[in-house]
Amino acid sequence: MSPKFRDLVLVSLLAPAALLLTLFDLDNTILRALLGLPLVLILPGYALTAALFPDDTLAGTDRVVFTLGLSLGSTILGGFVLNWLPWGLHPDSWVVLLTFLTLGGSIIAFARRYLLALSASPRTEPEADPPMHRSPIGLSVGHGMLFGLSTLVVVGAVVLARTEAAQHPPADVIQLWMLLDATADTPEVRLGINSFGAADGTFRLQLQQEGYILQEWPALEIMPGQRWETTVTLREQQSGDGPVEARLYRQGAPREIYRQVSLWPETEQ
Amino acid sequence: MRQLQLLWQAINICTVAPRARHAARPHTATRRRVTAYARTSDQTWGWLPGLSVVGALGVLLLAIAHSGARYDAIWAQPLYWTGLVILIAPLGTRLMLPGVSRREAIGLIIVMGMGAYFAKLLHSPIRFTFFDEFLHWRTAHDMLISGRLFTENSLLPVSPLYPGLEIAATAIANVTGLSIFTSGVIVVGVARLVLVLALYLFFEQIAGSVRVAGIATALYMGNPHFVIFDAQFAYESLALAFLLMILLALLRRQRVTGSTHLSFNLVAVLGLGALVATHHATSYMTTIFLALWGLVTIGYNWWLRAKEPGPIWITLLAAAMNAAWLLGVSSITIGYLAPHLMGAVESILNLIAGEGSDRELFKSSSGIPTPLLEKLIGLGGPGLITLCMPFGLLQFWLKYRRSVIAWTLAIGALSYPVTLVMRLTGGGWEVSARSSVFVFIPLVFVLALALEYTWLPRRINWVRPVLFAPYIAVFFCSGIIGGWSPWARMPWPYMVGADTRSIEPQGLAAAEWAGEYLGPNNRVAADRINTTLWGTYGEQRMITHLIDEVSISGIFLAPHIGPHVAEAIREGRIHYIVVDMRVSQALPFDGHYYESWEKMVVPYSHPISPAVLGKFDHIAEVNRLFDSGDIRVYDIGALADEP
Repeated sequence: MSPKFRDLVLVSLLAPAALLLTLFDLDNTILRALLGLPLVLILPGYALTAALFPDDTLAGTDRVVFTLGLSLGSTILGGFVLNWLPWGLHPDSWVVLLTFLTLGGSIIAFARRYLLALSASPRTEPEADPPMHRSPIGLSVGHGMLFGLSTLVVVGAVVLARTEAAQHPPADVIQLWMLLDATADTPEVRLGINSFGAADGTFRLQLQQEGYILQEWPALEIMPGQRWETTVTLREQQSGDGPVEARLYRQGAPREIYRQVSLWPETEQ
Repeated sequence: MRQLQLLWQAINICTVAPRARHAARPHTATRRRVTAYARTSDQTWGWLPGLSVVGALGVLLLAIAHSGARYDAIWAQPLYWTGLVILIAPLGTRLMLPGVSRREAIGLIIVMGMGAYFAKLLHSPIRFTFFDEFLHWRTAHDMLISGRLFTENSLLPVSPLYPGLEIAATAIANVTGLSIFTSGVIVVGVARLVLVLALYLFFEQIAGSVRVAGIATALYMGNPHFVIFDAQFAYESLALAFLLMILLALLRRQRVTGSTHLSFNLVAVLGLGALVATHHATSYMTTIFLALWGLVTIGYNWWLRAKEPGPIWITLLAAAMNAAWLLGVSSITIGYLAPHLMGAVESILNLIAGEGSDRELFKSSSGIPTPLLEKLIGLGGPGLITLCMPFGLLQFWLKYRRSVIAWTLAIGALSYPVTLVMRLTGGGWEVSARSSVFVFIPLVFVLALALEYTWLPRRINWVRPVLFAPYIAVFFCSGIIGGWSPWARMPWPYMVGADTRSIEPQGLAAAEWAGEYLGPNNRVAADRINTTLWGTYGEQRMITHLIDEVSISGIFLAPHIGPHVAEAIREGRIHYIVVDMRVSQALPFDGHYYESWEKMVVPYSHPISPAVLGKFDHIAEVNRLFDSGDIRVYDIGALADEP
């Protein structure tokens, strides 16, 4: 195969590969990211750029700018097309659109490069090669090691920042909540305690109405990240017209209300 | 008139220096000068490998500084500035040295531009924490769930009407399965790469010099919004990339003919379509710039009887596309932008009329002053610009006045003093800050000419470029100081009413509880911070003055629920109220607790009374459904007659 078309062949293979991966619903996150990111950010723009500029008009940096810019631009405009179509903006419709865009651009690029090669005289033919094929990278081992070190340092910086951001401030939260379930035959309340992060402890939970204790949980042990939930039927135990209150006390401070919620049983939610 | 034109030509012949005559024809000049570099060192990496390690160390210091800030460490802030200076100053100084190859210059500006992007990314590396990011995240989230565009977003109603950024981010999320956060970070990162590369190539073609292009691009990174604001997951961050891609395509097409000329036109049109659908202000500023370029071309051709090509038809197309989008899709943009522009005009008129400034420089909304060193550096940037601008304009006149696009940039640079005056006014400050990303494009070109032709040596001479290391550092740091409040630059511990500083686990957990237990899209009123959290993590339909025309502040700040409050609750059909008791502990750093107009009406001297916030506890049929210590959620459906 002529080196002139090698890049287009690669592009034309990668796009359908991403299409197949999505259509067959392969649940491999890394593979999906490896093929999906180029499908959105590089391949459509590369194919369009190749179709628009089949000769060596564009230098390498220009090609990078237009490849990325046209990929983003065509994705955005493609989003409007998908919105207009009955399928909408979903994974399948996206990969089909982007694959067709890439293949369409590649076919035009193939044709234009082929025609250019035909029309060029043998003496000038080598000049028609895109500059990227001619430019050596010229990277020595030392340079490569320095670039590699830079990448490692930046990756380390991101890992450090992510680790610290996940730990600070600590996500230690205890939530108390109560919801009326009016859909049941008899009115019920759902009562719950949610722990986030490392928050834990032993709690006393009281459900009362107008001073009368309807139900009590004297020693609820909540572990970090635990969700405790119960349902209480009200009709049998209801003793007044006031709100039903749930009060949560910490074991170390039995007289101090730690969390409090209330509900008027008559109110619809 | 003809005599004047002859005089102009005579002046040209006498004053344009031999070297600059190449620049008089910028495209051929570009070829020659770039080729001259290419002959010596175009393909060399130069100092780039070593300096990329230096830049990476700057990024690492930023990561350590941000981590320290989370613990409120006193060394965090000095380390932050040290990291930024290490990231920018050595690389910027290298760009000023003679003999920098094109490849090296491009590599250096990529390291600087992406390093600056990391400065923001390391601030919030696991989730969005900036106010504007939440607004766009909601649009993206709705798009991902519904598979449709133009869904309602009460947090920022214009956001779904300019869905370019969200389309790109959700396309990645859909295809790869990555989260919206990760997809958004990737899209904005790619846009940043396109921006710096296109900016460099644009300047390189105009100036015909690797060094001018490199310096101008490096200086552009000193604009107040580059490091943080335009690195956010917000529509301007992507739109800027399209703006520069369009300008580059239009400039490139001028030196080609035939089908290639048409290809560049197609690139510009496609970019324009994406731009119009991405951000209102950027697409308007693009049209204004193209119009200026077109007018300068017409004037130039008329004056010199020349036939320079100009962007006439694409300007008309841009204007038509913007008008069609504004009238057909996003007419509410007028109501969204008009108050900001009118406020700016009014403030300037007041200033001209001698009524004084209604804004104190270097003072936050909450009245906290900026440290002295920051003030000095903050003033240093505009000072250095003002110092260099006359020299830059002189060099433009001497060397580039026969280039139409250089004329356009020189005229555009003159808008900088106007934006500087606007900074003195309360109404004009925001418009000035927002416009800096556009004004800096022509401005840095003029500044780079001043540095290149007035100050920097032609031959190897280390002294002067090294003396400019502080210049680059001050210029860059001044931009950050001018663009973002000191208390919001780093992830310091929680503060009341302080946007990114107020995003913390308790608020996030409450919002997630709402999404899971209450279900999506209930009508909820909350303070500014919880409005963003509940509107995104909680998937709720937040009540805002922007779209519901209900005064949220009035509901929360009233001492008791009187007829007016009850009416507001009914009008807003508010089902749930989120009360964050922490607003009773401190004044809001951003100047308001609930809605931005508060700071103009309510001169807060002390925080809101806890009794005022607790008024919902004493109302019959109001349910307190949720309590996480500081955050309480009330069901007030009975007051709003909402089932």
